[in-house]
Amino acid sequence: MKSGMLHEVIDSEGEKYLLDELLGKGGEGSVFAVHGKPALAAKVFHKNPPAPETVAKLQAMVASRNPGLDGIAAWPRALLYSSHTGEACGVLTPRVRDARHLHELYGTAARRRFFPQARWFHLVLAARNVAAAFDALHESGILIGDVNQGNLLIDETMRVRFIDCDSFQVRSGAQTYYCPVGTPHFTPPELHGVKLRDASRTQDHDRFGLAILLFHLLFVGRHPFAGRLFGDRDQTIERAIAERRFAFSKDRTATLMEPPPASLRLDDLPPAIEKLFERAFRQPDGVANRPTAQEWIQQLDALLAERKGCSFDPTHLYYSRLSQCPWCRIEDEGGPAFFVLDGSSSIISPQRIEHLEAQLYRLKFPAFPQLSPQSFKVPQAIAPKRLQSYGQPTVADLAAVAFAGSAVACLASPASPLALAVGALGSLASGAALMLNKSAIAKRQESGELADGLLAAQNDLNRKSRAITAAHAKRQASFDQATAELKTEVSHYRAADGQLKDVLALFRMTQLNRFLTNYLISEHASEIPGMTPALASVLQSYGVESPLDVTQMNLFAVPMLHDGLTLELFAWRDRVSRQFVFKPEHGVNFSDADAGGKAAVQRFKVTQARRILMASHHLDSLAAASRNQLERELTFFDRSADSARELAKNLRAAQSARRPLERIINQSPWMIAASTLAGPAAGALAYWLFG
Amino acid sequence: MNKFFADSTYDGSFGAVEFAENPEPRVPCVLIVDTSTSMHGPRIGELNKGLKVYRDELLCDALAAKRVEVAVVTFGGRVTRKVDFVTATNFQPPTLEVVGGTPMGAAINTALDMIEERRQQYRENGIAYYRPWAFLITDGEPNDQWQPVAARIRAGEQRKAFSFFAVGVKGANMEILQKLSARKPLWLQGMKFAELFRWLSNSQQAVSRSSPGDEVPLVDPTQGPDGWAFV
Repeated sequence: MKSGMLHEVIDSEGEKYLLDELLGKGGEGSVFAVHGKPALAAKVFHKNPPAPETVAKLQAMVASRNPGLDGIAAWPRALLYSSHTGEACGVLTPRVRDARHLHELYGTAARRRFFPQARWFHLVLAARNVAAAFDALHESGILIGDVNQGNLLIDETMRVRFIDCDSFQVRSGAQTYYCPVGTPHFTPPELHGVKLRDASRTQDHDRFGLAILLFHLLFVGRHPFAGRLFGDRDQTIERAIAERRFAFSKDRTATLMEPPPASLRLDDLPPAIEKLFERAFRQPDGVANRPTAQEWIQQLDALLAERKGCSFDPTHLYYSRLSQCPWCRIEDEGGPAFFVLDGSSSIISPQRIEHLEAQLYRLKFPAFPQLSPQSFKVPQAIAPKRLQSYGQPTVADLAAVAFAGSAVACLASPASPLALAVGALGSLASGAALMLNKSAIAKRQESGELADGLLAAQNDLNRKSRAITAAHAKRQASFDQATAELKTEVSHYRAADGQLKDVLALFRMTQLNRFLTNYLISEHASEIPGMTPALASVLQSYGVESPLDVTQMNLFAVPMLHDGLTLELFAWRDRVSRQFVFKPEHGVNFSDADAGGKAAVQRFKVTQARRILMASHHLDSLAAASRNQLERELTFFDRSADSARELAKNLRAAQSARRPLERIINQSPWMIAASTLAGPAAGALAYWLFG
Repeated sequence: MNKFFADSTYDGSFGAVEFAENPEPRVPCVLIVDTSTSMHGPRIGELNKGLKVYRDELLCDALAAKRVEVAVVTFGGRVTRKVDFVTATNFQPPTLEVVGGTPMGAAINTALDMIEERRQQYRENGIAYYRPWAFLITDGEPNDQWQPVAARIRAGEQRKAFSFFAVGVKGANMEILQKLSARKPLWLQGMKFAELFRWLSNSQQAVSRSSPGDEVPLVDPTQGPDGWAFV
């Protein structure tokens, strides 16, 4: 909107309204405060003039206004017209004050801020009132259409009111004005991929959105279709909705999903409500039987009457038929405290501490899976078998024997030079025969290839085993570190009673060190007068990288560092350290420890205990994951080893089928050449020496 | 570094509490920022201001503040995980300083690793998420191996595992950015970092109201008075 143009608007009676500050901007228009009328707001459309249908729909809505609707919705009061052109330009609605969006009640961080007093009871009450508002609209033949977390406001008394009503589906005589928009996370499967502008919505569609809203409230912000999917796949919420994968459903074989960690479970609610949710979220195609707003009101009213307070923690309220407080269960598993007592010092019952202590006492540190070098069996070449009979001698066998004969002849050279000549000829001939004969070549190549293959496979396996060992060692190192940290934290927990301040000091020191190690000289050289990138890298090579390393001792070791720069470095270190702000990790800081004494210790212990328990769960899953990973890797290794074993077997079989003499000589062309020359050479030598 | 007991907003390995307290679907975005010496002077100053604008704009929107998660990887001399994924509410814009060369390839790799790790945490904690963003801002050219990263980016874009955007500040080697990114890289007009981050925030607000998996048409950043880019 161009300001100045539309500062003043009039309604159909000619009454003037002056627009004040911009309250919000949406897809269709901007909402302004109305000067001098704090209970009203004016929505001015972006599109000017708006479509005739928009105007007709708003006229119908203004005409159907009644006190019942005014009670649950910011129902349109009047159409607004430009005082210049006389064209429709917007709509006048009540301004809902002192209320927040629904997601600021069920979202935990926002709830702590805007509704610090709210307990689960309030969420159930809000759910009940949301259902009642739906019921009232449905009773009047009006459909919400675009159900979402943003078009409902809630105030401190858990009263709810709809805003942005102009998107509703309304009827006027024979004319139905559709709702052109939708929010996919709240849209039932049968409307997926449908062009909403031309879609006639039904109450059953709205009831799907209603159930999703109620779920968000009862399950403190969880979406019913967001959970952990079995297997290694990704999935969007829309797809989960389309496939009826209600993550909290009891029928996990059908949904292949489980609820996310640290959440309420479906059976933490009365069985009747469980059934309503299953009906709403897992309705098959072609059925229109989702729970009505009336059904929800009835069951939620019953739940409100059957609530119970937890004996450990007064902020915990739950369904009275449960044997155990679900909020305690979530916290004991390391989940958050969803509800907090107003003000900083909470009342923690002694039982709660005892309970956590007992859990910590039972705490076991999981063992990390061991990997021994024996896990890797690399197949080796096996000595050939000695056979009783070798079948028909081949050319290669004959040549090998001829070699031996020629060699003997050669060595007879001192007796007669002729023997040398004959031997040399024989040696050459048999060498040539071995080199050129087809079957000899085939034998040589077959064994050669097998031997090469085996060698390659062995190298590969050795490489794999090294990789697996290294990966395992890396996992183990991080596991060991985690275990050590966990043990330290347990000791902090135990020390808290006597020396809370010391423990806090320790936390502060850890945080400060972390802060300083990440504050690198090389990245902050400009803060130190006289520091250059070159000097920074010299310092780095002497291990001086962060303020933490700036000590007299370390700097002595660095040559070429003049006193001025040393002083600047110290000054810089002090400046950086002063920048550090301690973030109390448990909401307990030094002044609490000074003043509070017991309360601070308790608060510290409870949060610390929770962190420890949560970390121990993580350690368990780390160990389990490593075990699985190692198993997978070893199976993989064994599979690779199988093929190498096969190669070794084949090699042995091939070698065993050959006569030993032929096997030795007919290894490779080099061996044949050496054998060919060795006999005559030895003969010649013998002749020269003794002949 | 204390892995398990670090501040929960800082360390994702213990995200269960974080995710239980705020189970809203997430829009993860990792900024990959060039902090090599060529960015010195007013550039890095404007960039730092831009980061604050980004945070402030996100915080104006209650839903986006809960859904958009920001991480920052810098590359100047070495690659640093300056900020690990945090929701906008907990995002403290760092003050970046310039130093050293331009290991862009390694930085992108780190960023894509972070996205992968974060995705794993979402899955473990039953958190829905939108397609992650990787947003590269540079005024130079890589002095390390970037070709393997280009293949990784292309494969990731094809699988819709993330959207990779490259923005060149004057002096950037657009030819390489073109080869890196499946999308057309954009030039930053002058030093309009504030406009860039406002656009980023607005786009992510729009995405955070859509549904995971949807293609949200982005406002053309080269047009209009709020434009900050040219092709």
